Amino acid sequence: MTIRISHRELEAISAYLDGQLSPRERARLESRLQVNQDLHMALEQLRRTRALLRSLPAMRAPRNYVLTPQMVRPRKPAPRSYPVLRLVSVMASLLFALVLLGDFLGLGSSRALPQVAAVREEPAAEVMEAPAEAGEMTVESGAPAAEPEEAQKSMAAGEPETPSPEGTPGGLELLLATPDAELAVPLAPHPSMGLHAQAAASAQPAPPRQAPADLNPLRMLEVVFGVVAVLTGLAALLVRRGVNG
Amino acid sequence: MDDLELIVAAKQGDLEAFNRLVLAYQDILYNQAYRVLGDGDAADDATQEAFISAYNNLASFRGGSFRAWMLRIVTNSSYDELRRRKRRPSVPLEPVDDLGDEIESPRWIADPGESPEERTERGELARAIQHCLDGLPVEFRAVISLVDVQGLDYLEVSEVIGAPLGTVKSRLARGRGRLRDCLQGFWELLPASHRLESGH
Repeated sequence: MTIRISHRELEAISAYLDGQLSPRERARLESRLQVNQDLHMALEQLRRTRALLRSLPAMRAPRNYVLTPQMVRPRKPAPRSYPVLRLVSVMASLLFALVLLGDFLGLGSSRALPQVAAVREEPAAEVMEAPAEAGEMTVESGAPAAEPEEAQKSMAAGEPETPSPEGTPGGLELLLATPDAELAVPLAPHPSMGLHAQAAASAQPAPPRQAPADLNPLRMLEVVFGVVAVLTGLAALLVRRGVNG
Repeated sequence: MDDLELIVAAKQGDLEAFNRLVLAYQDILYNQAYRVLGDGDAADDATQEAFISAYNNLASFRGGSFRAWMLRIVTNSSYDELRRRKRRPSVPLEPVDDLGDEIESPRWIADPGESPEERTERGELARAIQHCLDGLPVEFRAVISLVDVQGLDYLEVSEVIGAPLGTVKSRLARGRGRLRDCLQGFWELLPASHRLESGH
């Protein structure tokens, strides 16, 4: 006959036999054992089961399990290049993360300005309506007089303006390209400019801005560090695999 | 050289030093594998695999009880061996009759290769206990073997099986409870001092 006791009671008497109960738990169980015959009988059964298990003869290994060199991987020391490659990979990864973070925080946001200007650009048809205002703007902003004339000529011809190394011909564009004017000019033109400034801004034809954005130095660094991290990491992995066989 | 010195030497690639550890621990590991698997051939394979794995992963041994670390490896290799044999059964772990049905009767416990004289009471009892162990879930078997055969304390067992102390207590109690029920079916084999007299 098997005595039916709860799982909790079974666990308690099993731990009691191994001396694994706290003094309080032990005292509580012992007081219950004195009044509960079923629990007492279950304890005796478990005690004998445990004694039977412990009476099992220790088995001898049927043979020796000594290892031969053929059974195990040869343990060659890692080549000296491994720690170097690993270090370079880790450093490049860290720098990549830093540069990426800087990029997200806008530290290299000079490329954002051309984008703002690009948002304000209008179709060439509107450019045709405000050549005079554009001319006024150039005077106020102190740009060379010859350049706006050229700009007017090219605008009058309906040709898109191409960027030049000296900056764009439009006065406002000249300011946009100037670091000091980066934040103020495109979003809040000087009051003296009034509507003329807005008109002038809208008068600028769409310059092809993609090429400068792609050459952002932060982007270049991201690419360089990313490539170095991946390549050195792969090299370190190959070196390690070569060692472990 | 003591264990620690042998381990340090083995970590540096000294296979001879490791083999001295193998000779010192092979009985313990084979015993554990046998109690978990209940089959000599399977235990043999699991023990060999355990030593190979131990050598290859010796760098991960960071001190503490080397015996517990080795027992952890052999317990895991026994689980692997059990899974492997279930996928590709060659010799049944449980005896079957001519129709392929599993034999539950204690009759099979007697090895037909032994003479009646060799079938000592002790041997039959050991086989009866192993038969009951084999009927337990493998996780229960491992814990019972670690506590009642290997003599580890609960904390060491917790480290070996990678489970909390409460799990160790629970598996051990339930395993012992089931063993108690199973062993009552082998009443005639039990020595008088071990008979569970309540029901007979």
